[in-house]
Amino acid sequence: MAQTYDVIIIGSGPNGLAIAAYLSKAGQKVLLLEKRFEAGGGLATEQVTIPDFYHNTHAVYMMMVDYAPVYKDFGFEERGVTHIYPELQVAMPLADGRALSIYRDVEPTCASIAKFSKKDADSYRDMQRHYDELMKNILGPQTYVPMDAAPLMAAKAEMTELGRALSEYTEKSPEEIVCERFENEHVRTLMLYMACHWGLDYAQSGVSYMVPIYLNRMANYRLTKGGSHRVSNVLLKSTFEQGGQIRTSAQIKHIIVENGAAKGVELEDGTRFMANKAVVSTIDTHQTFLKYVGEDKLDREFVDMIKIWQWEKWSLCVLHLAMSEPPRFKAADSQPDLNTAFIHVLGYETLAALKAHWDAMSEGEIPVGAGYNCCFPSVHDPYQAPPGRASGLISQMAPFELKDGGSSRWLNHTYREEVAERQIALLQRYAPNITRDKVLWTYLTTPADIQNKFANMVNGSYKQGAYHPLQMGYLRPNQDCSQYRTPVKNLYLGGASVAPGGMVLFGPGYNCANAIAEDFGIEKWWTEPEYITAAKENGYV
Amino acid sequence: MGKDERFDIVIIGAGPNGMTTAAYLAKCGLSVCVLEERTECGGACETQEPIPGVRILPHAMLMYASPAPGFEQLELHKHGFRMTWHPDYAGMENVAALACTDGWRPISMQDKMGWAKLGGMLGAPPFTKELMRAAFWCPPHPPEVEVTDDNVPYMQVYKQRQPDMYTHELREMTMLDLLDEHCETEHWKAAMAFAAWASGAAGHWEGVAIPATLCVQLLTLPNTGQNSIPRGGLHGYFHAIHRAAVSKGAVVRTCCPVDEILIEDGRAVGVRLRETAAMGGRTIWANKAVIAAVDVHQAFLKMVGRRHLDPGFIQKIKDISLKNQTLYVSVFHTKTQLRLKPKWDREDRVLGPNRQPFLGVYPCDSREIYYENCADVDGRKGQPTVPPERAMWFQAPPQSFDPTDCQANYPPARGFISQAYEMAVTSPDYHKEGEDALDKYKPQMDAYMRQSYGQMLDGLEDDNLIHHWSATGRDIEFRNTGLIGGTWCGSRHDEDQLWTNRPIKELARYRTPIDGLYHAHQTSGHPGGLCLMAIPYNLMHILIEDGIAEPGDWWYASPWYIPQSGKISAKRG
Repeated sequence: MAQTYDVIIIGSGPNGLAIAAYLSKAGQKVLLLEKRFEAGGGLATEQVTIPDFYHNTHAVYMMMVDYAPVYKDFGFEERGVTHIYPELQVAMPLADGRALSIYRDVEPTCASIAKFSKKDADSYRDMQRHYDELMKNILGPQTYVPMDAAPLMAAKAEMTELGRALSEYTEKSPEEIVCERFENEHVRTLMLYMACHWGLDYAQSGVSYMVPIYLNRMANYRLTKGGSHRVSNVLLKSTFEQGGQIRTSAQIKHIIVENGAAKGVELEDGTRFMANKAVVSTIDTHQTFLKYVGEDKLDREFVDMIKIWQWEKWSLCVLHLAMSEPPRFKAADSQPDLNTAFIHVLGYETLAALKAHWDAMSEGEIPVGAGYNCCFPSVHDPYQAPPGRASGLISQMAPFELKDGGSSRWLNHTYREEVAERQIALLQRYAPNITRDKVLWTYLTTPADIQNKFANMVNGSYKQGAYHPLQMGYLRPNQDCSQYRTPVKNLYLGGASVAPGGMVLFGPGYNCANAIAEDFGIEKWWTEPEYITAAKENGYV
Repeated sequence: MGKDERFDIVIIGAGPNGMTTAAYLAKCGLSVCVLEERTECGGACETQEPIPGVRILPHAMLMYASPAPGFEQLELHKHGFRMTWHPDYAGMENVAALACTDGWRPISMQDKMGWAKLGGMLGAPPFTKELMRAAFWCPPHPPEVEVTDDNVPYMQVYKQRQPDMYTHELREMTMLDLLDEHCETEHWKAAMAFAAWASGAAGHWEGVAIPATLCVQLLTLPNTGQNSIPRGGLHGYFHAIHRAAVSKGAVVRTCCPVDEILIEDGRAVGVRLRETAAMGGRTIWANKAVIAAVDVHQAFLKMVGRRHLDPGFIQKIKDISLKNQTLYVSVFHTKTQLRLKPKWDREDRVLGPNRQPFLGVYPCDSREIYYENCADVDGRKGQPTVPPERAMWFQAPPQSFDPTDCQANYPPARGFISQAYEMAVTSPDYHKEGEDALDKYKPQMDAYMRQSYGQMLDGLEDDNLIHHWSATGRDIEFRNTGLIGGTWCGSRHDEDQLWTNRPIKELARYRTPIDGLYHAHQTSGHPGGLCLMAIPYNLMHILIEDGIAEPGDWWYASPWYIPQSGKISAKRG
């Protein structure tokens, strides 16, 4: 017995939720299917340590709250879901007691950088002014419109000064960009880390247009009040209010394809759901095409293109902590507001140490004493821990395949304890009050755990695939699918493996919803944000 | 701060009772706002991931609710409710044996036939659903009606459908008396009495024989197939209820603790949120009713100002007896899978390629062991003195056969996560060494648990144990403020706190001394806890009586319901 919907969406991460919310409010009968027991995907807040300590087990730093249309379109504020935007965004305390600080505002940041290099302080001011322009006019709007083919994009870029400036970045590697702009060792270290830690190869050119994005967003990180899961709550509620359906604990068996068109979805238990209009997959291309559509239904060439998809070179090993008190950094002695930073970057005393971390990962190792970033959400949002206590996370770049033992070594309890102890020890070096007894409980998520929990995050790829030049922009995941339609009629892609990519951007979801609305003549209740209209008028996108 | 808002109904607490009530009232076309202090709804219907990808059920873990009218009235199947059937699903007829100290002792034919008879399965035609619904899904009678054999619902059902069983003594005997009459083996009786005790109405308490029996029957019904559980665990079940509510327009707000129930002229008119709530300090007005789906203590001692209640009532609230065990939960992370010791190792007691043991209660040898355990927990009220060989415990159903649980695909390098193991211990509120005693003794308690479970299982030795997670009653209450005293089933289900006296006369029909304020929680009226969707169903009758809810054709009242005089009847058609 089948049930019929207009649109069936696979995967209830931020993108799937966005598509469900947009289309259900447009009057479409929507079904959202989720394999796990909880919707939200990476927008997860869970009590994984001790009762009453809340941990954002995946997405923590929200970097596009000021750009993504979903927040206004669904009235997040009116629904009581707000974001905290700490004054001091990123701090890098050093062993000698100094600290480099990035604030929301440029001037205090310049003041901090000036303690290391006056020239770099001026350079930073100049950089953010320039990057603000790039972000507002090109990079921001580009996230929420479909990607142009490379020649067209290059042509557009040639026509404007800003466009031409941006193109220059593509020729350089992140390391070159950072080192050209900054002279001081510590400034270079922090800037390179913030530019690349989300998945860029520091020595590779080709996707360095991401550097202005990440360095601009570095002063724009926000924390969801009440935990990241609240963001998914809003989209879920809106979908329900508009009559949409969500099924969790629903394991798909295959996408029903007949005569080259997607007709619906069948679950493992035999339930069939038919889609009058579209089936959308927000999970990775391997599951979508190789497993659920089936190679026999696809062209040989297309299948080959899918198979050469690259997973990410490294993932994250994150330790969640329930603590009896928040950290008090030694460097706060010279800079009192240091304890209020949103993110602390620890352990990279030199540029070489940072690069060594990346280099080691390609050999399947993490250097001893490797650094990381950490965050203590309860300092900013008291909700996330009991009064007086603290919740925290330590997020360290880590390879999926370990040199000794492969990825299963991540599951070995002795190794896990070692990793956790090392990370806590590093924290204690910078924040001496965090002796081991202050850590009440820990919960570790390793690259292997990420893969196990989210089947689309193969090798722990939390962006569903590498940010490699040959699979970004118009080529993400490939030129047949980057505009959200696929070779299978009525089958759409709307997740992180399609342009513009991963993280909590809502870019793929928004663009995919637009594409479906256009293809099926569905009237859009949502209007294009002004900054995008302006960018189009100015010829930037 | 912020705009005040107005709804027809404001419900405090988004646990199973709050949410089911919201689903019913939203389906009546009322505007409903549910306020939950935690970041996640579900209350005791929770799933946890002690290690990424592997889920356990730390609280509600058994499907007691199968006869509930809510499944069809709220159309939960349309909102994704599914069961994950145990792969060796079998009805009662295939449950062969119980675990005792000397091995598995078989259940006799008389045990099964007697049990089936008690549960209405041998009627011509069988009347199980009618019997269960009569016992749990019917509001207590109005205060002006004297409760007699002729109007106690389950009595009427037995009288009409199985007259040879009917006797006034059914209302006075203990469950063990009943089992002595109808069943045969000692181990069967001990196991059932223990299951009843753990569920809320103990097997040796007078006057609750039928409620105790039928409560355990809910677990052994053919349609729960060897303790199968909903797809996604009890939280998955909750999701369907949540969807049913929200799809009809209910507004659910998390991170919104309520500080005060606002009362004007003796009538509840709304609630005020705490300053730190996500919607900070806002007032939410209720046109028709406020429903407190939180525990009696919070509702009446904190949220309703003292000046609105008379001191006698307040004292009665404080005196409501929770005196009931709480469950101490353990989950084990071990290097190799826990194994049944040779005495109990059988193919039909292990599941899946990893041979995960599943058993029920241990040890079931005799009622003397059962009494010994009850006396220690409910009577002595201190640290356990029952030797580990005789401590009774049970195991939650395994979930590893749920295809949406990642456990099955996890390689052995990670080790094995067990399902929850539980033992009854003294509630913190009654521990003679004080409330914090259990937490102080946690390492000793953990060791005691491992010794007890280790009677039947290999693999809990230090060299195989990676971690032992445990939760005391206080931990459970800390996480979920509604589970006061760590009680899992609401206040004591004994003769004094039953039916029209539950939890006290004034609250028995879910109304409270404040007009427009109702109470719907396991610590409130009949039938108590266990995620039955019963209190909301029963409350609906009362809300119809009071002119608050007007459901459509989908509603039907309990056939045993007696309308209160002067009120609108909840019967339809």
